Amino acid sequence: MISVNNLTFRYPGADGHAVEDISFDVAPGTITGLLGPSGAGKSTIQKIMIKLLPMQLGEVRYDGRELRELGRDFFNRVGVSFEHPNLFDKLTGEENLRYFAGLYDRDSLDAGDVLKLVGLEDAGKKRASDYSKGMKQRLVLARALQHKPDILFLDEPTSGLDPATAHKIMTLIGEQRDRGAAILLTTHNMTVAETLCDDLAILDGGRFVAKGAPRELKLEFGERAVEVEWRAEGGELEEEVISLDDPRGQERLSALMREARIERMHTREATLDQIFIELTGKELAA
Amino acid sequence: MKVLRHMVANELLLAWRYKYIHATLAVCVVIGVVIRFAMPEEISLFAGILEAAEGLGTSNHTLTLLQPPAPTASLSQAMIPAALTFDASMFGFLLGAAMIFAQKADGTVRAYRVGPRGTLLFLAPKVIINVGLAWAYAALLLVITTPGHYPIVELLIVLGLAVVGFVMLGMGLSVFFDNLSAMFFPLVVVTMGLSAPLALQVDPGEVSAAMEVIPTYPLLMGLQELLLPGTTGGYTFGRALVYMSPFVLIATLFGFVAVDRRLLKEVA
Repeated sequence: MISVNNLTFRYPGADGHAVEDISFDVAPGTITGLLGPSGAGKSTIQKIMIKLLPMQLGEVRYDGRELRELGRDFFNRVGVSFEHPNLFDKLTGEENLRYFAGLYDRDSLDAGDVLKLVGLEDAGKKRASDYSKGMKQRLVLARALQHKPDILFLDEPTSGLDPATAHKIMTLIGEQRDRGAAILLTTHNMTVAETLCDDLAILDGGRFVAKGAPRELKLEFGERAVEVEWRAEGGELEEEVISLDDPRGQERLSALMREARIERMHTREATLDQIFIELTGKELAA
Repeated sequence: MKVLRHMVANELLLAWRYKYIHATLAVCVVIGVVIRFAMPEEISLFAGILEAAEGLGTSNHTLTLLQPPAPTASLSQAMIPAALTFDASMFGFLLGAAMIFAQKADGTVRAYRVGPRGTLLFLAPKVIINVGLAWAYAALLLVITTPGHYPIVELLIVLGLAVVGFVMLGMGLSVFFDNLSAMFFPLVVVTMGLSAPLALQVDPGEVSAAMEVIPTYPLLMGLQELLLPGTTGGYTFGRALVYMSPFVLIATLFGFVAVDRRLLKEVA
């Protein structure tokens, strides 16, 4: 179990806090997503949690042990996939994996098998410099997974991937959760957040503005409404969005149903993007 | 130990792919061929002065030698320790820096930061590869120029020790710059400073105390005494080690602390 409590960090010379009073947990076998635009503080939280930035205020605990107490051994349990691929360009895909696999005390998966997991089985002998951005992204993910870590930090894991490959990678991340890994995923991709995450925390300006399961967030912050297409007395089709939060809307819907005028009706579910805009007044993809 | 072997093997592969090995050995062959086939025994300026002195002695004065003359090295012979010093210092310094810049450029330093190994295992393989390269350079140069029997162990020790210092200095300095171009001015200063003692091979003279402190001076004199015994006016292998050791210690400490505190941590 990962517990983050009251994490606060300010970059030297900066006016305000990069992250302020952040608390959340990540249980084994779950995926927690940090959702927010660039500069919201997602990467700063992750960097503190993997000791790339020093702890200033607050605490991070792994299975009850404070991060400060943990030596480099701790990283045997951790896999990190960075948004910007960082590979030895002069080495092949397989050589890159072997280089890093040799650093861990744990037995790693065979390089060929890991490459197959991320769909790079035919590119293992190619130098990383000849990989496309998407291929590099997958190789970085393969590197993070190869020593079977208990804790995974994934930074924009589907960034730059085509939809089919992105789907494959999302399935793979889901499998890591199913084998019991605790996964912290940072993204500004709503589909990834909604599909993969058991819990979501929406960040803005270094603070959480909402936390919960995606479904709960939608129920809590989304508008309850239905889109109705109905036939008017003259026979023409009319479209209308009816709010269920408004008693007049409920009456209007009941009337249309009583009069049997409804041709089609859809529930109108709020998207995470809409929730984010509602909470922060900003576009999520900004 | 297993991890160190793994890291050394991978650093060797990287040194090969980045052509550090090709470049070092190519330079060695060129310098070796120049020393063997193109270098004059003496520079004509000195020969002229000696001839004049000889003439002076025969006409008006009687020249009495109080002790047998010390053996002197020819210019081409004297260039061999100079070439070895050049390799150990300049190549060690530059390749150490280049290895760090390469990892900075492709971002793999960051990937290493979130792994279970520390600063020592990050640095040690790079130092080992450079020491190996310096030894290979020395062996090849001696085979090309003056094959013979040399005190191998002492040569390996003095070269190895010097390379550790220069590589650590290069790696330590590279931490504070983005690439070799950005490091241009420190590079010029270090290169000029380290080159100063090499001038003694062309124009030997009184050596100042300051010169003795430059780490290439004890390296040069130590190598010369090992390769051309008796030509250094009594400079010993032990003295070379004693004079080099403080530099090696300080450079190693500096390189380690710079990499540990700055390169392997995200600077906030």
